[in-house]
Amino acid sequence: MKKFISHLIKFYLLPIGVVILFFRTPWSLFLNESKEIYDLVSKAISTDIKAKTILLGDSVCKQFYSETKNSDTYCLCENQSYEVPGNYLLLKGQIANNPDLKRVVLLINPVTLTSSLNQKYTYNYFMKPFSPLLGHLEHNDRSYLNTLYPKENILTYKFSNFKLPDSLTNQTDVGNLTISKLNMKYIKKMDSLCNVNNVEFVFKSPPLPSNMKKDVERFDMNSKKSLLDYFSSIMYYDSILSSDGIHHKDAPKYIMKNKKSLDNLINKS
Amino acid sequence: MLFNSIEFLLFLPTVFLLYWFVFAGSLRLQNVLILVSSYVFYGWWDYRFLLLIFLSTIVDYIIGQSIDSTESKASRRSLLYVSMIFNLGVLGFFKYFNFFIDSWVELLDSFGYKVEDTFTLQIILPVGISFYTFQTMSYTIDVYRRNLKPTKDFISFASFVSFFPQLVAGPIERATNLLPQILSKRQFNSGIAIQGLRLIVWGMFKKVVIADSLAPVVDNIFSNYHDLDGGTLFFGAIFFAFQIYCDFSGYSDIAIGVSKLFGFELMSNFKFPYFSRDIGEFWRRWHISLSTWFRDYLYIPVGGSRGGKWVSLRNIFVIFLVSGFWHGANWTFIIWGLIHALLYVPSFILSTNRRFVSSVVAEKNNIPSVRELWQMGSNFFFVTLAWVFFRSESTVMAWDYLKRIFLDFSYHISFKDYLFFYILPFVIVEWFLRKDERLSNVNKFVWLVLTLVFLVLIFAKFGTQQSFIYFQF
Repeated sequence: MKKFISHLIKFYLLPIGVVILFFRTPWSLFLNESKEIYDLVSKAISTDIKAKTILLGDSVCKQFYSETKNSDTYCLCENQSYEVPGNYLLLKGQIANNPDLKRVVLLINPVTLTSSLNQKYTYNYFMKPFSPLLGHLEHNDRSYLNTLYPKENILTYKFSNFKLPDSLTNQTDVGNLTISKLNMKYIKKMDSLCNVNNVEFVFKSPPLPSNMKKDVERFDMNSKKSLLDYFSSIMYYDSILSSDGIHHKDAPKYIMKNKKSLDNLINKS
Repeated sequence: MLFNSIEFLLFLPTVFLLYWFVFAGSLRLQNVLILVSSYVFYGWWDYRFLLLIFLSTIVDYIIGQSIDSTESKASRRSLLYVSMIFNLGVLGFFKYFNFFIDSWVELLDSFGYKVEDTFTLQIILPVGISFYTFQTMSYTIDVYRRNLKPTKDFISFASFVSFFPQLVAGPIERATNLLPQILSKRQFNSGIAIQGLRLIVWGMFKKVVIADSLAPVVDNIFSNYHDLDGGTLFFGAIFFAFQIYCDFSGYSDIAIGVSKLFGFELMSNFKFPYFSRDIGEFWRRWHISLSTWFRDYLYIPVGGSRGGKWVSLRNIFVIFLVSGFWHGANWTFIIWGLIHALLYVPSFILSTNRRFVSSVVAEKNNIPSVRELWQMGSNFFFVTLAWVFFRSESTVMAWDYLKRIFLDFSYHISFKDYLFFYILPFVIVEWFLRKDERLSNVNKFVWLVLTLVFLVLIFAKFGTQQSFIYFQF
C-alpha cells in the first residue's frame, strides 16, 4: 500500500497540483476558448490605450471597426456574450486608466439586449474573464449571478468550458421581445458613469442584415420608447450579404463601400 | 452517478479507504461494502430502479440454487426457461415494448389496416438494464451447464450482479470470472492498483477530451445533414466513429481501472478495434464482452459453425442481427447489425475470417506496411459507413445521409480542426499503445508526461457532464 500511495502522490496528486497551478498562469489561456476576452479585459484595465474615443460592443462591431485603432479611436469589442454589464466593466476600467477618454460608443445588436447574462456561454465568456472586475457590479446583480452559477458547482466550472443548459437559454421565435432589466439598468449606468466623468456616451446598433428587421419589429413598445434613438438609427444591409443572419459575409468590402456611413454611425451623437 | 462527475471523485476514494483500511480484515464486510456502494452508485441516477436489480438478483439467486439442487434434466431446463423468460421479459418490457407495438402498427398499415388507437407506454429505460440482465443470465446458464457451482452467499451474488464499476455499461462479466473473485479474499497489489490508475486517467481522457469534444460537432452535422456537403458528412461519420469508440472504450477503461483498485480483474472490452485488418478482427477487438457473450450463449447453442456452410451463415446473420437489436429498439440498429453480417460473410465463405486471431497489426514494426494500411483503411471505411445507421434517428435519414456522401461529395470540409487536433494525435498515441491495452508496459516517465498532458486537457475540457452513450443501451 505504501508503494501505491507514494506512486499516487508522485504520479497523480503532484501532477494535479502542477496542472492547477498551470491554470492560474496566463499560459493556460491558449487552451481557453475565451482567450480573447481575457485579453480584452487586460487591455481595458491597462494604461496602454490613449485614444479619445473608445468603441465597445459585439462581434459585429468588431467586424466593422476592429481596424480602427489609432490615437483618436480604439475598438475594444469582442463579442456579445458579456452583454451590457461586461461593457460597463470595460468602461469602468477605461475611465480609471485612460485620462484622454472623451467619448464612448456602445454598439450592440438589439437581440442581445433581451438576455440577462444567462446565455449558453456566459460562464466561459463573462464570469471567468471578468472575475477580477465583478465586484463593480451591484450587489443584487452579483447575487443573481451566484444563483445562476452556484458556488457549490464552482469546482466543476473552474477549469471548464462550462455551458448553461440549452433549456435556460433558448429563445422562442414568436412573441414580443423585451430589453432585459439587467441590460437596461447597465445602459443607464454607463450613461451616468460617462456623465459624471465628462465623457460623451453614444449607444447604437451595429449595421444589421435585413433579415433581422422582423426581430427588431418584435420589440415591445416600452423597449422601443425607452431607446427611441437606438431603434430609429439602425442601419440594414441586404441579408443575402450575411454569412449567418448576423455577421457580414465580406466585411472589408462593405467597409470600403460604406466608409462614410460607418464613420457617421460612430461619430454622430 | 457518472464516472466523469465530482460526486464520483469523492465517492471513489471514500469507498477505497473504507474497503482497504476499515473492512480489510473481513471478506464479508468488504462484499457488503461493495454491494452498498453499488446500490448508492446506481441509486444516485434513479433509486426506483434499484428494485429491478434487486428482483433480478433474487430471481437468479433462487433459480441458480434450484437448478443445482435437482438432477432432473426437465426440471433444470424448466428453471432455466423461467430465468430466461423473467430476464428477457423485463428487458423486453422496458426496452422493446413500444418498438414492437409501433412496428406491428406499421406492418398492419402497410397491408391497408389503419389502427387508430395504439397502446404505447411512457417507459423510462433503466440505465444499464441490457448489461446487468445479460450478466445474470450468464450466471444461470453457466449453472445449468454445470460450468459453475451456484453460490449460497447472497451478498456475494448480489455484489456480482451490481458490481458498480461495470454495472451500467459493462464489460459484461461472466459469473465464472467475477464471482470466484468476489468469493475469495483479495490482497492489495500495488502494481495492479497502479495499472488501474493509468487506465482511469486514460479512460477519462478518451471520454472527456476526445468523445465530449466531438459530441457537439457530431450532433451539429447529423442534425443539419440536409444542408451540408458530402465531404463534411463523411467527416461527420468519422467523428462519430471516434466519439463512440472513445466514449465506450473510455468507460470500459475506467471500469477496469476502478476494479483493479479493489483487487478485481475484469475482462478486456476493447483492443484498438480501428487497427483491425478485417471485419472478423474488428469484432474480436470491439465490445469483446458482448460479442463473446453472444458467441458462447447464442451462436454456439444454435449450432455455431458445426452444421455446414448454410447453417453457419444463418447463425452468423442471427448473431449480428440480435447484436444490433440488443443496442436499441430501432430498425437502424438492426440494419447496422445486418451490414456487419454482410461485411463478415465474404471472409467466412472464403475461410479468411480467422486470419488475424492472435497477431497485432505491424507486430514487429513501428509502421504498417502498405498492404496493412490498405486493410485497416478499407475496414475502417466500411465500419464508419455502418456507424451512420447506428447514429441516425431513422433508416430514411441514414440512407439520405449516405446518399449525400456519395452523390454530393466535395472536398470542402468543415470542422477540420477536430481532425488535426483531436483525432490524429489520438490515433498516433493509440498506435504506439496497440499491443498493450492494459497500459502495463508503458515507461513510467513517459506515462508521467502523458498524464500531465492528459490532465491539462481533461481540466480544460471538463464541462457539463455528458452521459456515456452506452448508458441508453
